[in-house]
Amino acid sequence: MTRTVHSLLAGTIAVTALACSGGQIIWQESIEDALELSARTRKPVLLYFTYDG
Amino acid sequence: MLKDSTFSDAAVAAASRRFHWVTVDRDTTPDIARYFNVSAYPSLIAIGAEREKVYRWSGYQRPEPFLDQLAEARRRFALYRRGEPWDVPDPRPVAVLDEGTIRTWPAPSEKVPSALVVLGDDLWVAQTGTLYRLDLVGGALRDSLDLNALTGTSSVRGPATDGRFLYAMQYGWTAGLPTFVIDPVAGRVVREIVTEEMKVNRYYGAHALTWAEGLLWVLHTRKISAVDPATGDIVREIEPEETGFGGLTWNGEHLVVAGREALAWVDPVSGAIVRRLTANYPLRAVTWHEGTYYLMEQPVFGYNTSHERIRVWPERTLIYLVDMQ
Repeated sequence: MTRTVHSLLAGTIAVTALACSGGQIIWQESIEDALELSARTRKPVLLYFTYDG
Repeated sequence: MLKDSTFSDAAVAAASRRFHWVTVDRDTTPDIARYFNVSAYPSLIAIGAEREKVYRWSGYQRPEPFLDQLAEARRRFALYRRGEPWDVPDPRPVAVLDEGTIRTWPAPSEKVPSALVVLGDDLWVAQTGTLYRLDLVGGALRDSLDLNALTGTSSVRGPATDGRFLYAMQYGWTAGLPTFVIDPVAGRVVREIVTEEMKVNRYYGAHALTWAEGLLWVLHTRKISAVDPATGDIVREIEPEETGFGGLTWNGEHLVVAGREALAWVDPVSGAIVRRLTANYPLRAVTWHEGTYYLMEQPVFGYNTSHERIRVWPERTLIYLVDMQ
């Protein structure tokens, strides 16, 4: 399921993320959410750029 | 494919827990792709707290190499977190090949090379639309020709030489576009050669050409075709068992091809690779003259921490002169 969740970069860029996927990878809803998690867990944020949803 | 196969692999899924993943869809959020300067899909970028690039790779991969990329991303991120340099390019071997005696000359420009050829006591070096004429003895620049202006096109490959003229072909030779015969003294195109039978094609893919035994040999797609320079007709074709080559020359006995991974000697009759040397740097251009191979490398591009596209290697563009048995 793909949906726009909130903005990034001075509020101008929408972030689309997968809320869930068929595999076992856990997807965060936005880059900002992932960066916040990363600051707490010290795990890197990994962006997956695709065009197939 | 990544999502369908690699991402569902148990080992990848386990390793994935060491990251926080976000999908960025090109079609729904193109601004984000532009911000991160992404044009290849799929691409993966590990980012730092300020969204700087920590590690980046692209393309479909099976689970095993994908796991290697994840491990490298984690290694770089650990360096980043410790405040240590994390984006230094991996060191590379000191020499372009592990065999032969190698000398270097500075290239006449920093532009992307496409071909080398010796004519008389000149070494002609093609770099992004310009043909530079160097002194074959010491490599000093003598003068240059604007290849794009000369041919009226910006997609020229070559040149090769028959000992008098230079031959430069269009990338679209495979679709019937002409080859230009250039008089290097007069600095003008004196004739065009068209291979009529290629006009049925719709794809572009001519990479390099060389002159051997009265024929013009063209490296394209998966084949090397020998062209009659008088008629443009293809008179012979071979299909080497390995592809990925971008340079072509003739050493008097074999066709020699240069590519991303190797320098290889090809039997002109069977197409068999009779000798192969691993290249330490990706090769783009090759020519042979009196026992010496002249080589130039394909630049390697990457991205800086601000996601701007940069050239990683080489630091300075060189011509490699390799003497080998």
